Amino acid sequence: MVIFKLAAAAFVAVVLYLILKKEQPAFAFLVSAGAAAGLLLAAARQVEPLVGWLQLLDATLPGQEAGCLLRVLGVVLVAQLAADVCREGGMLAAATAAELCGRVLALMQALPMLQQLFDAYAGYLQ
Amino acid sequence: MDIDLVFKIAATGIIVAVLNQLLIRSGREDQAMMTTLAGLIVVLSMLVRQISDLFVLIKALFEL
Repeated sequence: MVIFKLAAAAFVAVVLYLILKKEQPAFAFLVSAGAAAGLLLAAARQVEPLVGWLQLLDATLPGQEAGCLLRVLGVVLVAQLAADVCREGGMLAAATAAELCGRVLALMQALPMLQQLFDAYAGYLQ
Repeated sequence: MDIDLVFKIAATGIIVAVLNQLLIRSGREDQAMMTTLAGLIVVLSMLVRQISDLFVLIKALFEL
């Protein structure tokens, strides 16, 4: 099971983080950023078949909701990683800014879907 | 599961910490600073490669 390997990796990374925290805080932060990137890489590899299935579903659906949903998910994932890495390093203002960017870009990605909703809604009203 | 990157970063960090203490105790503070900077640059280049792989995978996966 992959989850046990991921949990063990996270545990080892935390121990190494704590060892380095007192002497070299810069390296401790790099260990935590590397662990976050590694775990997210492993998670992304695990989610690949699901995305393939979603793209299959996307072909059958009339609109292009699934593609839009996937893009929003990708944007939010990266923005959350950036915000949390900034927060880990102690830069709370930059973390808030990164989160705000993530929200705005996710909204931009979802605009076509909103447009479709309004068109359908307008169709009903007439 | 590429945990070896975390091990490499931690090993570099521990070596730099030990070297740092060694150099500071022997009175060479500036060289200690240089060693820390060198270690940081090496680790940063490794980390940037890992994060670029992550972003390439996410870009391909989520059609961004």
